[in-house]
Amino acid sequence: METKTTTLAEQAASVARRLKALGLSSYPVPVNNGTRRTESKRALLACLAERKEERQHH
Amino acid sequence: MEFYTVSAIRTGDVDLVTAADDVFALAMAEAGFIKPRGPGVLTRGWVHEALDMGVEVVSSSLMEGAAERGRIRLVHLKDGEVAFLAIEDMIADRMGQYHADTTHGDDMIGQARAMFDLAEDLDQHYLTVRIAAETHGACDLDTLLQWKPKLQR
Repeated sequence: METKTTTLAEQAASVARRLKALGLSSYPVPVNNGTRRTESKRALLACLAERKEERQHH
Repeated sequence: MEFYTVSAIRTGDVDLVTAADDVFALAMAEAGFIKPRGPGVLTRGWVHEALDMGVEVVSSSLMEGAAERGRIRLVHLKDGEVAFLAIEDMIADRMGQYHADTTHGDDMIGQARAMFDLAEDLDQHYLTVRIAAETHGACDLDTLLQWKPKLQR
């Protein structure tokens, strides 16, 4: 099978065509509550949040 | 997921697959990422403070060998290329997680449906096979199509 190649602009155009076909101006976003996250991922995201908070305080 | 939905669904970090741990660690350090360390901190992830970005190595093989490598989507960027998991495998992965723990509600199937709805060129046969594999035969394409999206409040 030949690997599919694309660009960000082509992907954006593709999604725009799908939205038009669906009669939508934007997609109704499903809830992303992060419940699937593993312990490792929760630790990583907590670390990012802590560092962001530290930067904002300095 | 963010690529396939053009940020309709935002992600908190980047999941990455590599078997070349040492080479990857060098490349990440060179790019300015650091590995969080300390009590209670797991070390599969990398963070970049300036970019406010996290990267996690989730596996050394593509969906434990279940995803077809030939279906990888190669995206050309200004200064390189990124290989993304095929959208069919992404959808099947979310369906697998939905099936594994439905107590978490519609989060996972909602993401799967969004990717499905926004895709122009899905291989529905491969998608059907992959959903069946990831859900041990409990779900199929109809499970996804019959689900109704809910608006985020």
